[in-house]
Amino acid sequence: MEKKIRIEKDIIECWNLLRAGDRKSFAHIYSFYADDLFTYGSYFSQDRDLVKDAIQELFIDIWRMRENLSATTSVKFYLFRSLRRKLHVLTETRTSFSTFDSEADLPEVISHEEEFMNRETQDGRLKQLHRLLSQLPPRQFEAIRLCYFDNFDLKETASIMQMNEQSVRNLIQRSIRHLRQLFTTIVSLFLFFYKTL
Amino acid sequence: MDYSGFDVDDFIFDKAFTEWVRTGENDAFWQDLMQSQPLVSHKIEEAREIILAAASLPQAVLSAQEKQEMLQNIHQRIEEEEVVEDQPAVLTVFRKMWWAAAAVIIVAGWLTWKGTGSHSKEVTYEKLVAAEVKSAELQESVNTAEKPLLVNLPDGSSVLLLKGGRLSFNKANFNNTRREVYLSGEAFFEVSKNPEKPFFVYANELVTKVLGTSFTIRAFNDSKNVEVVVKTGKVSVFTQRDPEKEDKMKDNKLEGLVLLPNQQIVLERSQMKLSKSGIERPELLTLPAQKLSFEFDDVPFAEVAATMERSYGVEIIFDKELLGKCRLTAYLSDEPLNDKIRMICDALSATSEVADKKIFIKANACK
Repeated sequence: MEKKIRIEKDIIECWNLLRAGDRKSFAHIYSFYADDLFTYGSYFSQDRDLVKDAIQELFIDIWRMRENLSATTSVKFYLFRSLRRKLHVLTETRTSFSTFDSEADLPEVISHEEEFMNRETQDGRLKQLHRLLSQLPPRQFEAIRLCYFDNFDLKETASIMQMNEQSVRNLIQRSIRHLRQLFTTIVSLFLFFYKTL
Repeated sequence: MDYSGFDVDDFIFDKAFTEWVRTGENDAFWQDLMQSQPLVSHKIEEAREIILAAASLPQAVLSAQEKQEMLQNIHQRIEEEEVVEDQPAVLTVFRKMWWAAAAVIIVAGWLTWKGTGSHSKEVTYEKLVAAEVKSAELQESVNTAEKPLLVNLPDGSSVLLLKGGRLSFNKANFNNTRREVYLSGEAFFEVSKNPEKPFFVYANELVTKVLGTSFTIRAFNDSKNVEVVVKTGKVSVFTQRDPEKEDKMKDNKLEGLVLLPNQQIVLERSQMKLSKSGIERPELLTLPAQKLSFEFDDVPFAEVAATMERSYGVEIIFDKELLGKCRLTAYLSDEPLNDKIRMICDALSATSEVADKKIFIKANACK
């Protein structure tokens, strides 16, 4: 937790320097977030070049309007929200941004045997969960990613997705329900993943 | 916090819980909870699994090369976008369009250059002058005095050469298709506007191209840098080693790195690195001509004359009784000295005569 706070403080300093016209800080912010932005963008489009273009445009805009940027408590949040908007414009025709949350897009049903085998291994379970997650309706998938992969809080996630907090909550709840319906767990299996950040 | 009634989706929204899953914070508490409340513990497990799966999703990855290329593109696009259309000049009744000029200050730093043996690659004033094809026809002005030396070029442009400065140009073909000068030291240029004949200043490794501007250039042989500071109008700069040099020199446009008023560029000679910035050190502009805007709003001619004398080190001789109190409104920033004189004379219905450093203004009384 300590490390995270320290990094955020440095980045906010960089952000303020950028607003004051410091090119180096601008480049530093790019270096720090380019990878995350690319990963995030790639969920909206498989077209690598499109995503790369969107990120470049984003940073060019940021530099051009640096004097009008406001101070922020989370640079990552600002960047993600802006990139999402940019990609939305660039991928206008795609269905990823359909406002209607399609419930019809349920994950496929897997065979009992496959399910049984998958339960046996940590790896198998993880892979299966990954598959199920990626098969969620796009907005559900995005909400979960923003909260648990990118570690935004509900408020930030809602802002990025241009929804209100309660809607995001509902969205995530629905997706958990989906997952659980299709991925029943065995009480006896205790899986302890210790992930260090 | 009572977790006994919690379901899976309650856990995933619980901040303390998600922190534990992500970082192991307060592990003892959670282990304890799972031991003591087995009904809740399997919910905990489910929630944890889901969170971990989400946190470890396969991701598209940017390669280091792609990342670097993108940054370069970003920098390049930013440079390109900082070229702005020419600011419209402030026109008054007395200004004639084709005489609008720009002043450029070319400055080279005073720092000694720690050469690493690549001196043979360096471009100096001497080398450039020697290479000029018909060097016999080069006209050189050298300022050995303390005061700035005014040099009038055949096209009407004026150059204020500071102490120790040397300026050369080919007398015969100066104003044919191009206007070219070589500079060593520091000088303030006011170049007559002529887009048909671009004006080039060769100062060490830097080439400054203008169509009509005022600027300062500093280029000393033993210095680490070459500097250009723009006062009015715009100039473009590139190095002698620029692969696109020929193209950039050929046409009537300003390409490459373009400088606008109050911008400066520094060429770091050993690395051939160009960097642009706003003017950071205004004290580098020491000449009145570099700083003055030559804007006169209903000002007595005597005052105008005094300003010109101070700025250019010339003497203006006129009948004080006749002309002294004539009032003048003129905006003359861009113009070389001679054009300033000409325009003032037009305004006053006067004529001028120049002899050495003296300018004689003859007029009847003003209305």
